[in-house]
Amino acid sequence: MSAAGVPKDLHARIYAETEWSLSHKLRHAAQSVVGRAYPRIFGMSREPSWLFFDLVFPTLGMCSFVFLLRSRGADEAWISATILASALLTFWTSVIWMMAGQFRWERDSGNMTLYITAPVGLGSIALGMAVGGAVGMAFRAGIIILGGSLLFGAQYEIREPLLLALTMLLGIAAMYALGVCLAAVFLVSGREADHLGDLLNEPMQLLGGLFAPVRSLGIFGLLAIGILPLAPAADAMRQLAVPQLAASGLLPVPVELGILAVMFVVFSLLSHFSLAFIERRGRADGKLLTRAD
Amino acid sequence: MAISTPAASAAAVEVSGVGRVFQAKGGSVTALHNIDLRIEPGELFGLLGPNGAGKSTLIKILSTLLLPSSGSASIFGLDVVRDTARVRRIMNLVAGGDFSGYGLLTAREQLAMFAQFYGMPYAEGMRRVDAQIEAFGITDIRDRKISALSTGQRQKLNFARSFLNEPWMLFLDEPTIGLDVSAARDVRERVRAFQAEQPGRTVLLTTHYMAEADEMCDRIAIVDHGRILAQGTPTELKRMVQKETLFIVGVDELPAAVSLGTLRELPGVISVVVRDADGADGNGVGSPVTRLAIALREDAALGGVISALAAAGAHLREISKSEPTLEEVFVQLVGRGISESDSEQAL
Ligand SMILES: Nc1ncnc2c1ncn2[C@@H]1O[C@H](COP(=O)(O)OP(=O)(O)OP(=O)(O)O)[C@@H](O)[C@H]1O
Ligand SMILES: [Mg+2]
Repeated sequence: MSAAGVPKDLHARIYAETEWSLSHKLRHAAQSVVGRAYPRIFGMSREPSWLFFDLVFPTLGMCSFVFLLRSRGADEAWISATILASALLTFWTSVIWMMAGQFRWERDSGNMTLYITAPVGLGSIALGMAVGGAVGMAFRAGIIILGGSLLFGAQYEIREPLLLALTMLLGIAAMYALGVCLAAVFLVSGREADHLGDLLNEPMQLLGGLFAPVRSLGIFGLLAIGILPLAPAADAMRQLAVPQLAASGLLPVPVELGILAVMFVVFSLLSHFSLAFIERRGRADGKLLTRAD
Repeated sequence: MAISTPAASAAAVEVSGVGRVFQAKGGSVTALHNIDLRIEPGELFGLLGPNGAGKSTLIKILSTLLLPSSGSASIFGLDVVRDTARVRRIMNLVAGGDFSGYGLLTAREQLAMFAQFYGMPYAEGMRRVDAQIEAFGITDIRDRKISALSTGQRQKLNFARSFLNEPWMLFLDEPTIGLDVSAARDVRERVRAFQAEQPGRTVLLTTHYMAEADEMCDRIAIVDHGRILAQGTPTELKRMVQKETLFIVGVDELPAAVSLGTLRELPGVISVVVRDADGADGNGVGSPVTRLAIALREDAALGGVISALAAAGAHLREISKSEPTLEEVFVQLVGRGISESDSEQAL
């Protein structure tokens, strides 16, 4: 028994609604990315305490490193490099805190269910998360560089601004692409992944060659350059913005840029496959995508 | 993969032989056994069953969240496994007790965010967001942060979200859980209005509340242990426990001219008994009433009985139809009541 007034051509009409043109799909993907980025960009500035965590803590962290370097009588050039590295580190911290655990949080809050059942792809959601995180962090990184330069009179000499911009962009893009992979890994592996999170944070700063040239880390340095986007990005930025330290670079800038580009592509592909995997696995086993109730 | 246009005769929901087995620690759990179900376009269909019956599992399969272990299912002719992307463009889902979204967004921003995910152009999305805020009467909280909303307000927002893409197929998994009487009423009202706006919009609802199922659903399936025990309109289901219709007819006193025997002879009458002869109204005040319990083969037979009583000079005081409740149907089929405390919620 169906309700009165159901149109005769109902099924044809419904079918036509499911037919999306390429431009419709592209517009939808773009809107979805912006939609998901929005809460990260605008939500963050709403809690006064967040602003405190975003500005005061990272600045303090940077200051402590600078004071340490000064007490050791380090070259002023290293102070400039440290400030740059701190700025880059804010992005990495946000990858660990705001990307890696994010899908698990989305699952537990019920959002994942809504994302999966909506016509939006997980890829758009992940990209929105990344773009929102990166834009939010850019503000924080800017404050660090500005504050550091004013406080400590750090000097930079940028001969190739385009190359520097490209380095930063590629480095950040590769980090967030890795972040999406981590989000998928953390969702699948559950609690065990928490330890991985700890592992990735502190020791990686050292391994990442942020506060020590990667070169001094020998084989580990090479390894870090090979896996973590942070290492080649920091090394290249140092060479590009602080010419006195150009000689401390592990590899020539173009090579490091190439490494970052490869990392970005590889991590993006891995993200793509891991997102497809979690959706497939989630629909098969019934646990990954919905809240346990 | 090429998909041909579905046949015009396709149901809104077609489930055939769907089974679902979960691998759990203590072995495997069969949540659904070989389910067959057909829901027509425009229906509001209810799944009623105790905890663990498999209601949510079926909704998850139909809403593309979960794959069936066996069998197949389609929404308006679109297969939920093969045509997943298409199915997602015409459906939406509300689950009870959901705390989805982002606490730092305002109610309006949250709806706007979801509108982007549903694929309509930005301006159209914002138009619908504001229309839903209006329709749900939540203009007072539109600029309030999600984290500051009550359960009822959040759930209204959740419903508003689910209407944004104007879904042809709406899945509601215990949507009024935790809502107070008036919020639950508002939400049910909106669901009915939503269906009335556009014939063909179909709703599949699961609930623990008998009264809600009875009041809202065109048809109901009673589910337990992964099987459909019975399905039909609420009236049909009630007929299963009580075949005849029962009327209670109250008269001042039974005239001597009419005997119960004569009434029993009338066409369509199954039985007539005096239920109580002494009772006045419920409080024992007013003049005495004699109540007859009259079982009929069909409602229409009542006319003959009333005429016979009137012709004999009886003064009619009251007529009421006595119906079994869905609760009784449920207890008879399932062998136990639905989670007791939950079913008390008034309408
Ligand atoms: N992901 C899962 N893994 C293992 N078992 C599951 C899973 N999901 C559901 N089940 C089991 O399947 C059965 C049906 O569960 P389902 O959630 O569909 O019931 P329900 O009718 O919705 O119950 P409720 O009224 O409590 O919501 C239960 O025995 C449940 O424990
Ligand atoms: Mg359930």
